[in-house]
Amino acid sequence: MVTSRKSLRPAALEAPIAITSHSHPSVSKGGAEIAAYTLFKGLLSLGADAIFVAACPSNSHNRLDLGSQREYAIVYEPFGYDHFYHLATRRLWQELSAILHAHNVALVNFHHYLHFGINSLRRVACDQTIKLVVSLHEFLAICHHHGQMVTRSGQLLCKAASPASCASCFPEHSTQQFKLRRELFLDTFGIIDGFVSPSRFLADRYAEWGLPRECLTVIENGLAQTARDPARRAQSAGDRWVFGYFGQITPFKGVDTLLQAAEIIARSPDLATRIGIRIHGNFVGQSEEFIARLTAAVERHPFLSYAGPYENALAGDLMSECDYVVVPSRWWENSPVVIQEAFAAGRPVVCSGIGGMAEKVTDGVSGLHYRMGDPDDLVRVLTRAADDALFTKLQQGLPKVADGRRMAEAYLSLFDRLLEDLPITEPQTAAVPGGSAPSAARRRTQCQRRAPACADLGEALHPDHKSY
Amino acid sequence: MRHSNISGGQRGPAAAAVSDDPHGTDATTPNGTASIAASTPVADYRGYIDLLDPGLGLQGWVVNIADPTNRMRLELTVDSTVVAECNVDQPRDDVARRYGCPHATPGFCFAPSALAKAGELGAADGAKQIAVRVAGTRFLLSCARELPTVAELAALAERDRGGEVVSLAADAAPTRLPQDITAATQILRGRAAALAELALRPISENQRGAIEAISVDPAGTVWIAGWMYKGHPLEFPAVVSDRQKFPAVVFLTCHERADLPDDRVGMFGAVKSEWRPAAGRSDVFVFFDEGGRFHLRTANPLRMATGEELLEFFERIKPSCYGRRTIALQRMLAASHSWLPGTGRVAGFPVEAWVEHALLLPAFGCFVEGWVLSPVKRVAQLLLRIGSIVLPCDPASLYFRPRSDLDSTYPNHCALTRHAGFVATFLGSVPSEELIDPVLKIAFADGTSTNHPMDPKVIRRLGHSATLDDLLTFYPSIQAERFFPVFSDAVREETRSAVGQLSPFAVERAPRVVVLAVPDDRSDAFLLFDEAERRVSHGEARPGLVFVAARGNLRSEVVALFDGLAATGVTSCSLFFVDDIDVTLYLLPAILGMAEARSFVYVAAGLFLTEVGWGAALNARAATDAPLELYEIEDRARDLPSCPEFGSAECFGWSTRALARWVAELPMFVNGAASAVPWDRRSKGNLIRTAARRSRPRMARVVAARIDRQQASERVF
Repeated sequence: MVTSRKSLRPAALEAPIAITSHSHPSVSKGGAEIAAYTLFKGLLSLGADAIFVAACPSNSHNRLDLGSQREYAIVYEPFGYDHFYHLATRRLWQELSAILHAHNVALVNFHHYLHFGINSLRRVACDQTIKLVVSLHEFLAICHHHGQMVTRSGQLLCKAASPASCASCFPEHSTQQFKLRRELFLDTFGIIDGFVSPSRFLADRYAEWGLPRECLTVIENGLAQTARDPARRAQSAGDRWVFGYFGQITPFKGVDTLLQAAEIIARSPDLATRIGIRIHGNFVGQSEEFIARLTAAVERHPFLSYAGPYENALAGDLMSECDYVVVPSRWWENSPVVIQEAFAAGRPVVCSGIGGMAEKVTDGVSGLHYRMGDPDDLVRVLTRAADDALFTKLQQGLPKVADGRRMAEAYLSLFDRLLEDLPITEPQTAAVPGGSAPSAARRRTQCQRRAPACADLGEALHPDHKSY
Repeated sequence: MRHSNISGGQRGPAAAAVSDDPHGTDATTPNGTASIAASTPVADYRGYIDLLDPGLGLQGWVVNIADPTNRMRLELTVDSTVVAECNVDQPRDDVARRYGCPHATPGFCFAPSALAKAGELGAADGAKQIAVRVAGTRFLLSCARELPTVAELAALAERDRGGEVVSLAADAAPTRLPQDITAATQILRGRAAALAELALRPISENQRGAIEAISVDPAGTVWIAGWMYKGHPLEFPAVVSDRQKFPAVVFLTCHERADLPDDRVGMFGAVKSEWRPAAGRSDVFVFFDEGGRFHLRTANPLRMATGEELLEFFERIKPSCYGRRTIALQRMLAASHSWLPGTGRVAGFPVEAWVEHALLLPAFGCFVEGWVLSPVKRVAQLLLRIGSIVLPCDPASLYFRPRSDLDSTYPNHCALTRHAGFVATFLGSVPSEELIDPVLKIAFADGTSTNHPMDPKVIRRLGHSATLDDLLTFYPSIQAERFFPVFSDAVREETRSAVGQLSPFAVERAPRVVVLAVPDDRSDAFLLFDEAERRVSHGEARPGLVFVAARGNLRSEVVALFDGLAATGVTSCSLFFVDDIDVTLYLLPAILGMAEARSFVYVAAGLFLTEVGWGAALNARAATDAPLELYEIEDRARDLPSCPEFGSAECFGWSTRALARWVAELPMFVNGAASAVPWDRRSKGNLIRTAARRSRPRMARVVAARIDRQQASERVF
């Protein structure tokens, strides 16, 4: 749904808005921080009074590059954060609070509570003058294992969390501690005005976990750049169908499945002449053994290549040089940016048929699914995909990808309702079934006292902050 | 010219008896001369004359080291005249062992008639000395003294008819000393006392040896090593001159040293006296012989050797030692009054031992686990020495376990390894300054013993580097052991001594406080501070917050979290550090006194108040007569069910005054506050249901709980 500017209530454009992120894109290029920054830029393009506040670890301070006077960074020491309950020392909150009050921020949208701590969320929520929205990008509140909902030792998909099962993944923590953790998150989330999820899959998981459905809104992440030439890449006779992988090569991303599929393809000379696999990205958290294995496979198989790391801004161009984009992730995923980039580049997606991937890629319409972790099934699907007629059909089924502006419009619609203390109703394109929207004001009653006024804090700001 | 390669040895105890055939062969060549063959180099012979007695004959030993079993004949000569001959065919185990030829018979004996014949030579030969040589060689046997002349021999024979025995052996005393070294010591001590009455002066040409190293064992025996000239006795009375005169008894054994001239030999032995050498001293003289005319002198520099060095040295020279007292000296090193470590190596019989674990409670004693393998002797008793403290083993606690892990190291000893492991309790107090040089002594049924050094790293202190529950591997039923009551008292005493360290970090006064002990889990520490701030800032009533934390690796986090909380000004905040968070209960009166709190709620480490608990804690009365309120703990894991009726001292509220009275009478509970239940004489106390919960199952501290359970049957409220 495209909402014109005239239909927006003035409150959302008049009220200062803060977008916070656990990191700045110049320091870390994860999906959450890119989505947050894209939203920030989109809000600015709509004329909103928005600022961007990022947490930055002290050891990455030198890479920080703030793009404008409206961007702030709060440098923190990793020492002062607990990664189990996600609690931060007070200092970080004090600096954030000072920025928020200096700008008279009326609404804060946290894209992640990591590094700020959920105690910072609570403190913001207890300030009755500020509305609070949290965008969820993974399952960290549910799952201590990087928020992936994948078991720690066996790397198996986890369908539901429980204190006992979590304690078996993390024996260094007790069942009671996982109960306390869940209670702490639910208590804190209970006083937040609204939540945004980029996918229905993630929203459903949180609802099953305990978050009221009426608090959840699904808004797809927008792409910073969407203009692409979706035409088919130029091919010569005998060219292989190129299936490109894009992204960080982490253990969760399923590149090992691609390598296993390459071995199967190599055993069939016919397939090896028709299918090509091109891997783009940098290694993160991979063992030396895996890197050596990939290097050896690339040397062994002419149809397999490793193109190395790439700039995000060039992703679309690189995808245009492929026929399909492969997303072989071994975890649920939420709303992978790579799928949107693929669609923007006019490329159908071959992906694991689970979680957010299965939601964003409709099997047989905008792409093809295969059984997660099964290299034989992946080869079967790649073989099927290497077909002109099917490719054309899938290209025609690609959805339109929202850009940052469109994402911002959807967010502003939500912000409007919150600022006006209206019930949250969902945009027609992203409805979460079930439940009616409660009054935001009712949730506020859980927080009995106002937070201390900014004047009480009196903390000096970090010199890296731009003046305001 | 007399050739003598070695001053030779004495007849050892194994060959004490003279040959059964004392007469030997008494033959001379027709013209009295002996043909000298050069077939065997003189250097290959070793020999010595032990005894010359007109009534017993001339006895000694000789061996051809190139061919120890070669039968030889000896010639008794006067000048070049062969007076008598005999075979070398009598057993001398000490010599045979020394030269590695157990089947050799290197002993000999010229019959008294041979001596008589020599003494009956004419007056023209009166001044000629007798000699003994290996037939066909130029090798002459040596002895401690010059052999007598023909005339002297005749005079001896005359005296013999009066019963006097002349021994040329190393015991220079005219009468033979007893075999028993203790008896010999008594005799020699008397002579030493007499010698000490004389004026003694060291004349350089009378120096007969040098003492190069000295070691003093814990029993006070002075061990010496060095060299001396051959031909001197190896046991004698002496006088040690070291700023004053000390009568002494010296027992020595000799050994070969390649660095010494032919007329000298290495010596090693014991000096029994009141003398205690001081390091750095030189010019100490040991006077001996008739009138003290000879002396040994300490070398400069004199080396003070450790017990370990002493034993290593003896182990090296033992195979080549000879002398009547060699075995006795060996036993002295391993004697029951000596704690020189490592004597197991020199015991002379096989014994191996090792200590693997030693758990020490200084006020009680030491629990030891190890193993001992003694194929020959039965183990009767164990002792432990730590520093200068000797701890006897409690016989009731000693037991043996199979050690099949030793089978591969000691094959064919399966019968032994079945009970090679031992567990024992050694009783006695060990002050901290004595915690050095541990030694295990194994005493055997025959009265001998061996000492075995322990690796100091195996000793762990209970309650410090070892937990009380580590004892369960030693004594699974420890509460039923006889030593348990005394042990429990010592544990309580140890725990009490650790209570005293309280370090205030920040103190703010408040009439009513919530005392929160910080858990040692980092995440839980963050949660505790966050919850405390959240609850207090959102509540109407605001008691002060007092945090108590262990002085451990979370200190920096605790300080940062406390600082953030205190800066909010939401309520008064205090922070104390203690050494052991589990004894916070006993420090509460002091903590509350510093905060000037009239009433409090206490929450032990690892507990979090529930909604109900916080409600009660925040709204409790600030009064000097605040009633006792027990906070029930939900134990979600049900590992240790909470006491639903009484609660415990892990979480409760009260007045400071009442607490102080109660704690003053409270016994020391080793298992922490969970073992104690506050009790108010005036009322039972109010129980607040489901007021707190644990973040982790309570660690089962079995031994501590058993100690407290025993205490509970006697405790006074």
